[in-house]
Amino acid sequence: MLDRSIVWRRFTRNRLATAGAIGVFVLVGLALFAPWVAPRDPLYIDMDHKFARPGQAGFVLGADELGRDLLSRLLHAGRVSLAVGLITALIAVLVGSVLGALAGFYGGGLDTAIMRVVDVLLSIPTIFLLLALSAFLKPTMLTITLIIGLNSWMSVARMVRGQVLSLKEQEFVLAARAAGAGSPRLIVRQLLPNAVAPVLVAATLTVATAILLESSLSYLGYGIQPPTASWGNMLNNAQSYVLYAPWVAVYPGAMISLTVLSFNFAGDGLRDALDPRLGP
Amino acid sequence: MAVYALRRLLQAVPLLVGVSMAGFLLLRLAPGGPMAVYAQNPNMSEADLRRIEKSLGLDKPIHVQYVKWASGMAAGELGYSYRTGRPVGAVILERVPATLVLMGVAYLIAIALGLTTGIVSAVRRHSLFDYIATTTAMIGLSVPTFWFGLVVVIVFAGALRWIPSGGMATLGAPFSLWDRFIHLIGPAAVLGLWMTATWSRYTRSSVLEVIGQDYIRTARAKGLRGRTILMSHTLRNALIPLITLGGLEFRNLFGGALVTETVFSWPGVGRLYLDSLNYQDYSVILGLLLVTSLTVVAGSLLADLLYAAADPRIRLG
Repeated sequence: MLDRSIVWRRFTRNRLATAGAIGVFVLVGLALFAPWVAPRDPLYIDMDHKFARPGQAGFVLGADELGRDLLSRLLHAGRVSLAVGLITALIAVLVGSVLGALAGFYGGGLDTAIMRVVDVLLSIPTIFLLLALSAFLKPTMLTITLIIGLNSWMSVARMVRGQVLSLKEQEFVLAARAAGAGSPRLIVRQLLPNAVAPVLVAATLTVATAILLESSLSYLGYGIQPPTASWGNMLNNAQSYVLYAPWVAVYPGAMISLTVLSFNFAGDGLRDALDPRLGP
Repeated sequence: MAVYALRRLLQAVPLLVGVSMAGFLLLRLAPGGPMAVYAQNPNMSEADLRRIEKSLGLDKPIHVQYVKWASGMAAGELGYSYRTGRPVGAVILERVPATLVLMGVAYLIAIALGLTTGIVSAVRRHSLFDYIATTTAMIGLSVPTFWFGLVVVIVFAGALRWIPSGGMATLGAPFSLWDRFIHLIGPAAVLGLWMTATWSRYTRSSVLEVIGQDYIRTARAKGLRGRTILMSHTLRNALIPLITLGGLEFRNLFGGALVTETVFSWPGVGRLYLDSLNYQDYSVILGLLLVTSLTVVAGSLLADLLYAAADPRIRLG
């Protein structure tokens, strides 16, 4: 593992990565404080002001087809989208690390079984599978988070497996084993800590893909269900009035793009900063 | 090569079994399961339902059911649509051309544009072009496809009126190639540009990897011209790994196509899938899941074979 100050210096010297990290903090902050920052009730229907233009009648970013304040909805939707993205990434990283470590450490039949499941899941088009699962299991925030999480762990598992395979033959692991450490202890104390850097990068990038998946599902009507707003489902009906009231469709997508971009830049920067092959 | 091809082909078999098992189990999760369509019919008595269940073999243990169902699938028996009663295969097949055109054109756009920008980016590393191209690619990967599509509709169909806002042809108009073309531009550009981002990133890193190799330095030291080094030493080796990406991309391509088809009301496989979900047409849902997964497996198989043909180290290693 690299020296923390070197990683910090490399990361902050990378302008895009810094911008990404700042973006993440600002977006998470806005989501946390949404109820206090939002000027209105995001669910309050005001038919007199439906499709109010940005700036009109005190609607800073305008109003949607039911006269609800877009800015307030965006802020509250951010809580949902970010929460789903973060928890999903957590699930994916936990499941992926555990299964990847088990496969890499024990090898044999267990390895084959786990890797076959990975191969199968990587053969089914993600959106198709997620749509069917969501339709069959009733889309709630819990099921959406779970099904996206349980379909996003495969690349983490492959990566951790590779790490464990190459680490387990190294001397410090052999030394720990000679000193009497059992297998669970070896995995938890010796192998996983040494795979933290790539897992951290994968986790950051998984948040980005998870937010994209949630937004696609919600856009298609099989994600977060109204009246709860998520950035994706705010675009759910956009099709029908996109030419008439384009601002209603533009802002939520811009928020998704900004969030995903922030996580991607931060993740990419983190990867470069943690790469021991690159200079200080 | 033949041995490698056969071995690789056999490796795909357990994968297909796994995919079919996943699909089979998924259908059991559906509310009402495979009997849902009959249970909704008010004229059916409980006894009728049991009789149908028996005639369909649904009273047997689950592994017996799977084997019976899977052997039917393997013989191309995809069953009948719950909604229309037509054979699932025919229902899917009539949507394939639309999706194929969309995906094909998008794929061509992505490869042409992605390879060019990726190569120029790598060769002119740290140049302004490289900076703009890598940032644009990252933005392309971060923007949701459906929103990109909506923005294209707002700008090019709404404000500029250059393209229609959706569909595959003008309703009621006689067939014309121009009409088809103008309808295709929007969705194909959206799907193609989205994929371009991935292609240019992979190409760039693959070319950079090769440029760092010793044999490139040797070629340079021999005094070969830059163009010769680029064309016959660098690109030949850098582009081979991209064959793998070509195979892997099928999975994302289906997802991207489903979303793009929704935005542009393109009557392809993705739309059919969503419609079937809305109508709880389970047999079509399952059929589409299997057909698309089969395509993904076939895509990566094809990519591996092409790779082995292009790089002898693979099949001999």
